[in-house]
Amino acid sequence: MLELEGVVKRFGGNLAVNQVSFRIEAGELTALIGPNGAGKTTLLDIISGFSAPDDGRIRLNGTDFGRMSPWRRAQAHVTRTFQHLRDIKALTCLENIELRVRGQRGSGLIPAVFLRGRWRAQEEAVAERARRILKELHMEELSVKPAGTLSFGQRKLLSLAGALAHDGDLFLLDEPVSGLDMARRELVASVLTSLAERGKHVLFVEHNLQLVTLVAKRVLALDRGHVVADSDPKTVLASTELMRAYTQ
Amino acid sequence: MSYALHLGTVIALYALLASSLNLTAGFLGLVSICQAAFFGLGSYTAAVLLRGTANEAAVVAAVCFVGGWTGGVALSMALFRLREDYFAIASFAFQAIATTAFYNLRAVTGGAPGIAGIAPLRFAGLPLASAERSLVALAILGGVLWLVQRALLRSPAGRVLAAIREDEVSVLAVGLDPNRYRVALFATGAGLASMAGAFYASYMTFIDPTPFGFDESILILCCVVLGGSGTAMGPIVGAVALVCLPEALRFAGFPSAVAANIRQIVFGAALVAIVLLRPTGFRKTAGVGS
Repeated sequence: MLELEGVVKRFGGNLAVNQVSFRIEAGELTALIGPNGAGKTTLLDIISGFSAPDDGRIRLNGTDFGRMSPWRRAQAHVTRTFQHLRDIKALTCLENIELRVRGQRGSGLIPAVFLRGRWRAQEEAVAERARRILKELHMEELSVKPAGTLSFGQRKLLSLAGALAHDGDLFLLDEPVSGLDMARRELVASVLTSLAERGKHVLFVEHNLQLVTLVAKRVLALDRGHVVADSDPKTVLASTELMRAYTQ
Repeated sequence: MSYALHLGTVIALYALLASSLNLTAGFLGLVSICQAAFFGLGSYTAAVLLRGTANEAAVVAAVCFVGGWTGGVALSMALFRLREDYFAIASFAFQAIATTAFYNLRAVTGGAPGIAGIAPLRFAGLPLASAERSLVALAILGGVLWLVQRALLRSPAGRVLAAIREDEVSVLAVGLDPNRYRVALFATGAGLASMAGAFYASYMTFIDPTPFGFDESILILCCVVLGGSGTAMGPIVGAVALVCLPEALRFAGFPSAVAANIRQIVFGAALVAIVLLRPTGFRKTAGVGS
């Protein structure tokens, strides 16, 4: 279970996140919506450790994150994608996905050079897994292409592929379908649903309310750092609080 | 023959220095302008250990490596709070401090007149006094470093290094700490440069602060960038080119009164031409599998 308790974040005098508390159960596919500047990405940054909260507590499956660094949280099964794409342009699609597989014995400098026997067998399994993910996202033909040569939509899918390779317990996905065509949106929707079916905690930020209605089981609406609505998609999208947030 | 051997030894020395800097500038993408300072640190350490008496190469090289590595770890604690241009400026500041120290700590370094009478390193009882033996020793070290870099680039760690070079946040999101890689590679590069200094002092038998200054750090950086930073072979190619080019110009037949100036102009123009024609270096800059 992901638990947030009284999380507060200030930027100067502005309260970007104000006393946010909620719980997300395993397998609960939750969307985080709200107008620009509502604090959605800041909240993902706080949960994943890229931004320190001024107050509040965050726990995942009982582990208190406290001041834990982002890389330690990633090791503790927090998988994150970003609004601005963070693929490695010099690496191929396959290498980008392989990079994100957790627990690789050859990623340390000394094992990489002097203990090759420890990771060579694992490397084949890592490559096989990366190929399987590419196939799942219909990107097999892009496997040897450098990420820097892909279109925006392909790169967006690549970031999701990286998240699948990382495969934490908690997925924090920032606008997973923005800039994607209809076919790719449906593909992402099915991936999100299957993650939830596998018992993952999924919290995704999204402006596309059609996707939210289609896949989310629960919607959290943020406005100026507050949670103004928290319910099933139909109830939240019909709420006056959300209407007020978008029109003010 | 002795000139060719000397030239080969100098090339091997610069290939080793450039490869040591490649760990930081090439693999991590951090422009460091203080490699000559660590080179000097190793040379003076070796000079003190070898003053008047020959000593085992393995012992002196190990002492110099550990000294340079420790200095590298200490410096990286301060430098790695900075990125890109600021990192380069801070590393230059360290180079300036080291140069000043080499000139002014006369009790240890001998100041501007330097230290003479440095005994050669010994390997298995044989003194590495001649150019042949120094060349073989440096070539073996350079070869080992080339193999290590090649293995690193072809491993899962090679992917991590490419990611650190391009986007540190993506590495943090994977669950790896980029600073551990930075400190380890920067310190190892400092240790290797320091070790190269030990072989230099032993080979020359005399050292002064001249080859450990800012100009030398820039030359080592040029070897990495022009050869192809981030590749295993690039620094070696760069060292061959940048050591041989000024030597070749000696035989160009310029009038002796202006020969030195013309050589500098031609050398500068050649560097600019290389940058324009091969912006990624002689060896294409690459991450994994290069």
